[in-house]
Amino acid sequence: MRKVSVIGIGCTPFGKQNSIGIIDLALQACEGALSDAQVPGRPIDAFYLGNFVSEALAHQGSLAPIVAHRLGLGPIPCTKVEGACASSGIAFRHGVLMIASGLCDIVLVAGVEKMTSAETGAVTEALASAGDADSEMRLGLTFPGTFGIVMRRHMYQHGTTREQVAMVSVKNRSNGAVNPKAHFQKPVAMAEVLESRLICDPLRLYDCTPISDGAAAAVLCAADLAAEFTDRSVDVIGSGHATGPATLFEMADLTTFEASVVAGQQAYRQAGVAPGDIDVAEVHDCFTIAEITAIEDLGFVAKGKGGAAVAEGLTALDGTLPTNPSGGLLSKGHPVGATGLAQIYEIVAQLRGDAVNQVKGAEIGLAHNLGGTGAVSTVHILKRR
Amino acid sequence: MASFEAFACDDCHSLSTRPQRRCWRCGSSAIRSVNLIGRGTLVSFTIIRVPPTVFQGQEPYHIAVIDLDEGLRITARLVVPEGREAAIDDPVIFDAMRPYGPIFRLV
Repeated sequence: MRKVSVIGIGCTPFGKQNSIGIIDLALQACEGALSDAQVPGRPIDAFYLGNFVSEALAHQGSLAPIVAHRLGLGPIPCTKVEGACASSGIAFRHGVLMIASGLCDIVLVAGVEKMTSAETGAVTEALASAGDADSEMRLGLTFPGTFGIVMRRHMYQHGTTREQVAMVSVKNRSNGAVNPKAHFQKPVAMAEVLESRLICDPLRLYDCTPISDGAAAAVLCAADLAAEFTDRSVDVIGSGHATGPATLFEMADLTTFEASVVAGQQAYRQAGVAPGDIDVAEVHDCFTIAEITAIEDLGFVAKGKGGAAVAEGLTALDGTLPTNPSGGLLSKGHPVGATGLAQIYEIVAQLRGDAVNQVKGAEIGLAHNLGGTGAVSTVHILKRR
Repeated sequence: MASFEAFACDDCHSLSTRPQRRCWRCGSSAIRSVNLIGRGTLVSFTIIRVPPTVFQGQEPYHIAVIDLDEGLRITARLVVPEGREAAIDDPVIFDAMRPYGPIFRLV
């Protein structure tokens, strides 16, 4: 298999973007990535675009060919990729596979979502379609509800405290306060998290990501060609993609997302690194408790120790494993189809040495994207050249 | 006493709440319908206060993951009588089947 590099990245600001439609959001991120990669004029061989709820919320089903046409990419293969909140992690993975297989030299990958123009009930319903419609979602379960159930069980089973879980929000909101692309650029205090409105007990408002608009993109290239375009390329050394049960009742342990465990193991094995070798991570903190389960599932800490790890500062900017220095989904926002590539954007920036909360000397970074009730996960490991 | 339908594997005796083409655990296609009484305990639960549009007006309502004594884990609505609070490990029992799924109640 050929080795793959990221040679360009682009990301729109995340948040409420009334004046720009979903196609233009995607164009903005893609143009950013293409110009960062310095590939104008060079043919792109394929385009993968991650998106989850454009049909329900933006009334636009087909996206990839329209965006590609507007970018002037020519008659290349264009595919929209759906994997709930892991849609653009999977789009990135497809780009990697196309180059690794030798079928393509340069691939554009992107993710986009436009959510704020719809009513909250409609957004909740559209997002709930990532769950199993025949069983749990028909009961009226929502995604905050799903993670409320996971959180209560984690607290019971592992002794995780309410304060430890709230610390994730305090940490990520503090990190995001200096990120100009984040939806929320304001820190929150522990008391504010603990006293915010109950959404799905014990989950409260500040345990949840906001509803956001946004897009992110990357240009992937065969590693042996990367130097022709840029001296700032970052290598993709591990790519994992796995599936788990799409319902809570089919999970063997309500505090473990099997897809994350398996995707992480695949990525570590391919990269030839261990969790302890990771210098910086962007993990899928769609809710506070999700960051705790993620750092456990990815092997950064033992199962059940995630809450204590956050409270002890292990995952802080100056900790041994800085996690979500960008502010994570909790601060940046979670335009679901764009999230996976926004994580890649942050990790590439970290490995280039120009991130907003730069982790000093970061050489190896990890991006973890989770979709549905743990139904699908991607894990990518990237390395500075 | 109320009972509800589930699907049992004749080879490994796993149970499922939905008709599987093959057993989710062992892959066998020897699946048959069984009736369960539905006594169990709470594994975890939440109270939905921001529901999807179709359930607006019903909030707040409980949704629980339940381990049945009969060897099956399911997700269901949970009825909590006024003045009581649910807790993990509380005993629950099947109450009724609604178009949107099973309802259990605290014992």
